[in-house]
Amino acid sequence: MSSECRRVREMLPLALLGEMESGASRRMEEHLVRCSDCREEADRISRLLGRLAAAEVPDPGPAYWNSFLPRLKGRIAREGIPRALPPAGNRWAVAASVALLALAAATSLSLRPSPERGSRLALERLAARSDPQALHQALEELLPGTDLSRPAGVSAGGDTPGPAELQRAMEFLFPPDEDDISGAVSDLSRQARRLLLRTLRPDRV
Amino acid sequence: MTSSPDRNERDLALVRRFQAGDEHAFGLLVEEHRGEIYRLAFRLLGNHADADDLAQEAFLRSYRSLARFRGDSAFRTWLIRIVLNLAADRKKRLGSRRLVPLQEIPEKDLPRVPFQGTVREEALHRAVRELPPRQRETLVLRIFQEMRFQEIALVMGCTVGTAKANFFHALRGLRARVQGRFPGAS
Repeated sequence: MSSECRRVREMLPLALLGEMESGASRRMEEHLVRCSDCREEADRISRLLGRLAAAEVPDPGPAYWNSFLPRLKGRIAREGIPRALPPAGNRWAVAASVALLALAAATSLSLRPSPERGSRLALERLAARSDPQALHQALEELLPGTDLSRPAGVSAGGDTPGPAELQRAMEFLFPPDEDDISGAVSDLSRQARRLLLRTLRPDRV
Repeated sequence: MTSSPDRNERDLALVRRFQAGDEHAFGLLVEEHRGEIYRLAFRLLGNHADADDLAQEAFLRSYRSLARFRGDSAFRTWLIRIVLNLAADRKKRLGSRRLVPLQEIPEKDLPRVPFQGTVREEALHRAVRELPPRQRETLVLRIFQEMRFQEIALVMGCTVGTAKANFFHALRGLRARVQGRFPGAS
């Protein structure tokens, strides 16, 4: 196989999908006119792409589609999913406050804050760049009445959530990338917020 | 299936209505995208139960997060990204459950029910599911969701070159699997 044939074959899928520049596409067409091996290869790939595109997913039927939205709404109502968002300017500070709460809780209970070092570092970065006043305000918003300047004592017994419970709350807080962390607060369920509050301020719940 | 500017604008208008408190707008977004999201989930996971679960979960996740959607990308692209993330999480949770290579399954054992297509069509779906995750996702997004490589790169957080490379590898892997099962069928 010549080097030109190799180049053409590498580019065939792109050409067949119409994602090639016109100049390169014209050169390829010229090659295909004079090379029967590459033409056959183009036919094979074209057939494969055609079969793939034609492979349908079985339709689950009208009853399924009719129930899709009502089921979804039912879950939203049952799970009490919040849809509100803290004011945009405050979002990073709120995320940072959540990060601090989570880190404090995790440290106190000797839990690793995250199985992924990247997430932990991202949280630490978030916490480090937050403005103390904004953080305080955000914390008030998230957990009304909580005073950041007086970190609460944490006890490992009594009403304090167990590691498994806390781990569930932590899973809300440690999405795989930093971008998602900025939205961690609005993703946090009421239950998870309460869990963190119970961990940090068992006297308040 | 590819995103048109009109569709994107319509979606964005619904998102803005939802963000302004119109709950009904979310229902309209679901109605608009549920079919595509379900089919994408089916192609990634391979059965109705998992596809339904993933599709519902994706819309739940979008409900939670839609308030902070800024419209930097198309709503559809954003939603597809959620599906891919959820599918990846699910695979991670299930661990490294080994898929039996297509070549090792006697044709009589290839499922016909509930799949309503031909055995060969099912074999093709199965071959797609056997591909490594990034290759499978790229192939599904390009062929079935009809996304351009630029859009795929955006959704998958990689370069256009990587998306193309994943696609080439996917096609090569697919051909090898299909040829192994049905010689001369590629």
